[in-house]
Amino acid sequence: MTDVRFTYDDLQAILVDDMAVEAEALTGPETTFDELGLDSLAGAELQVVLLTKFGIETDEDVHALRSVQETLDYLNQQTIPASAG
Amino acid sequence: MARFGHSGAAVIMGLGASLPPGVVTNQMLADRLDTSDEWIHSRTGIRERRVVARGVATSDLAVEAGARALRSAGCDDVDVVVLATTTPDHPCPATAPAVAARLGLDMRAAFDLGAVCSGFVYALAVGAGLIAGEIAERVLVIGAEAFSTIIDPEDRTTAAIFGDGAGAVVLRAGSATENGALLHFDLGSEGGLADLITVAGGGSKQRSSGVPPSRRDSYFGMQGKPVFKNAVLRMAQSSRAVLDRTGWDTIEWLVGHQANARILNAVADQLDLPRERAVMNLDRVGNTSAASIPLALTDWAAAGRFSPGDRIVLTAFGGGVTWGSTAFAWPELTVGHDRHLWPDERHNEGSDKHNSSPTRSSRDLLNERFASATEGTP
Repeated sequence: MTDVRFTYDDLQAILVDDMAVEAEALTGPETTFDELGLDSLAGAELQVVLLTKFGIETDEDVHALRSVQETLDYLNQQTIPASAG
Repeated sequence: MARFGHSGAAVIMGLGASLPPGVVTNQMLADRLDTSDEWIHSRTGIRERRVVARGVATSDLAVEAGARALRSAGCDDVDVVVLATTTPDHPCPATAPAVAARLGLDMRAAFDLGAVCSGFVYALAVGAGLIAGEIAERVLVIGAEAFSTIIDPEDRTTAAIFGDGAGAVVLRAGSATENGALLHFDLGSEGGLADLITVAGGGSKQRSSGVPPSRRDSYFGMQGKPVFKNAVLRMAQSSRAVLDRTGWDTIEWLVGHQANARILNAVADQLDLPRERAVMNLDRVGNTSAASIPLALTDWAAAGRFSPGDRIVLTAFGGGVTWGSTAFAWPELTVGHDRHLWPDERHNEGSDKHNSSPTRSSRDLLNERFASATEGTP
């Protein structure tokens, strides 16, 4: 198992490339999902991207995330299977 | 031993669909529930859905779709009728024999199959197996749902998603080299996730408990977020499995179970397929469970969007949980044009029996149905 550090740039890439967020809307780590136009299904969409692109299994807590910083904190507490790295 | 290969293949020779005329728009839901057109559309892609009038059951929709598929096939006889449904007319007996009888197919084998929203793909696999095993030459496969009958009218989530309808295909014995031949299947289930999609009451488990079902257990329930994740992952994985077996490097159309526009977009993304290649008609009919794939096929075919030889993958995910996919090349087909699929044409109908001011009549219908919603179980 390898610890993975998700940076702001990494998450920005996921949000813009995979979740159709406008890059200009992302003004910093404190940006909220509301401000990005992400709704209650965004957590499920994020789960799919994390699993299929990064091999990261996330739990139900992902649905409670409300900002970019919260998401970074959450992701950096997760681990990634070595096989998916 | 059943043979799948160059002989004994099941070939699609007819296609038809049926929708009840009663329209429920998002605004009509917003008028009585804490929701809005924008909320529903942004999360599901759905603008309106159809619901049956009081007294209309799954069999009525199945008969109409079946008749249209038979007419499309230019045949009046089959050996077997398989009906995929989550909302049979009765717990017992199966609905298929009554449907067969009304279609003039009395004395033919007829049975129901339940795999919730995956039911139609499962039923296609069963039909193909009956043909491959030389048990049948022709099989009528129907997916039909009066899903609104198990929806809690007070549940803003499921009431916004689900609708009623039916679709059917006629399969015949043929060759795997023909357009329309069902080439490969991928089917699966994961019973550990049974609780994601349920009607908890009404079955032997609740009845043997000796406790009447609660109001909540009498209706359909779904855990939206885990369903979303599993639906995307399973439909993408299952589609890839049939693509691997066909050897196709790409497809012209992905006809996924019409669960939710965002699920279908995510599946297309997973398959590196442009989103416009994912067939979508749920904006006008909602999620019709086992009926959704043949309804979407009929809709697209009647609009002339398929060309013979187009490579198509059907994929579904449903309660159980279950999933399934198959692949075929689009055959030459004349589908029964169901005018009720097209909102533009709804307002131009002349003497059609369904043409009684759809919006007003469906509102009456809703008021009537929902006024009595608390009387008891659906």
